[in-house]
Amino acid sequence: MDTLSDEFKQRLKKYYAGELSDQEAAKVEREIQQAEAYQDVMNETFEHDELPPGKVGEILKRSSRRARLTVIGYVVMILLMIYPVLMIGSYVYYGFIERANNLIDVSYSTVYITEPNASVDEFNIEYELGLFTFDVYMDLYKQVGNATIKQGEWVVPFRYNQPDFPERNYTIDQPPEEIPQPDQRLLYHPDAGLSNSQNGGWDTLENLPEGTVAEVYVSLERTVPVDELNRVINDIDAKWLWYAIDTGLDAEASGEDTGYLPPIGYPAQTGNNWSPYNFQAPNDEQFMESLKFLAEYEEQATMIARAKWLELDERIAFLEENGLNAYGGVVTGPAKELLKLRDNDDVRAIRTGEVRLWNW
Amino acid sequence: MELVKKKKGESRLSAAAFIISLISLAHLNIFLLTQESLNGFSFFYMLLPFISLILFIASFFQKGYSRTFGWWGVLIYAFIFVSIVVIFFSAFTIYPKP
Repeated sequence: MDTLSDEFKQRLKKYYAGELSDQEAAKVEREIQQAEAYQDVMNETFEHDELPPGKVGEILKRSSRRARLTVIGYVVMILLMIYPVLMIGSYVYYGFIERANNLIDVSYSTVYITEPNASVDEFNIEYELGLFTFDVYMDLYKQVGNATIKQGEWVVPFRYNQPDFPERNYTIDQPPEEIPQPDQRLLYHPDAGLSNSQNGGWDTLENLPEGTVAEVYVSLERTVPVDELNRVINDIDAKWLWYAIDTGLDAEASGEDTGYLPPIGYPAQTGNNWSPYNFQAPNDEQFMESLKFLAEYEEQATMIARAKWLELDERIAFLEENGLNAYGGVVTGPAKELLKLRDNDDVRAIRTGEVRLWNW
Repeated sequence: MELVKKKKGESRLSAAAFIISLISLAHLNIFLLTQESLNGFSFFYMLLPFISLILFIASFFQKGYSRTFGWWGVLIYAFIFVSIVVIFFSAFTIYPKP
């Protein structure tokens, strides 16, 4: 470009000095005409761009405002995308490899195993998925007589896959203690010492009027194979609702310094197909499967249960070696029928739970 | 001297398409924060994207304008679509009831 320009300058100088031939001079004149025409176009094009000095500031302001709005637009967009991106991560985290489903299973399986005579309405389990939090809402029920009554609602909050203490809201007259003291235990192993308050169960039952049904927590004098438990209540009009299983640790659990160890057991009744204790397999088999599943999530199960420890591996090993023997459980029936258990030599102590008007 | 083709700035139609997409994105945030049912689905995720798309297409008839915001608007709707699909698919796999 520079060479061409220099060469043109040289020719222009020669043109004005009259040193070019006619032909060369004519060529230079044509080029000058072309340059003038180009200059005219440039002048017309940029004529309006020459702004008065006052307008320059205004244009700068407008450009600055436009740039500011552009930045604001991008910042708003980025801010609005942060939460959805994190929530997608959260949904993928809980939806992936059935993590959320397992946490729900852990929640209600723990209830069935560690809460005597408690059941969960599996159809109405709800959940709320937040930013790497997962709250499980479940309604707990218990059977008194032939009626199923609502105990209350548990909310089990998980952060990632670690649970926090469940929020328990009960609507029944005698809600269980969060962490029961040894003398507030409902069921006692034959080798465990009885507390004084345990003797008051019969008095309560005796004072109940005719026309009432009750649930009673029955502790036996000795452990009995589960399939022989019905023999204990053969003579009365009542039925077992839940079996407390001897897992080898239940006797020492009465000591204060060991912390609360909840009784472990399973429902005597069979629920619907959606229940973990359904018609597809005997309840004792489903109980063992449930225990093994919970052993994989023992940390979570311990937090969900009203327990300081569960020691599931040790208990499973004991059950596999010794089979399923019960040391008590929950029985329901008419109050006066249940009172007949006082004369039963197999029964060591009882504790009265919920009472309702006749529904037997 | 180099001749430069001048642009007249961002197309207003394209900017409007972008702002509409931000409204839908804001609603997605509200839905995720409140965890309530997806009220106004047809308005925020069908009607507004449609209007935004029309504006974006219309912006192509404005010669000499930039359409950067319009493209961002399209990307935002693509993101919203992916988010809703992932969230609903994951929610569907969590504790499906018969």
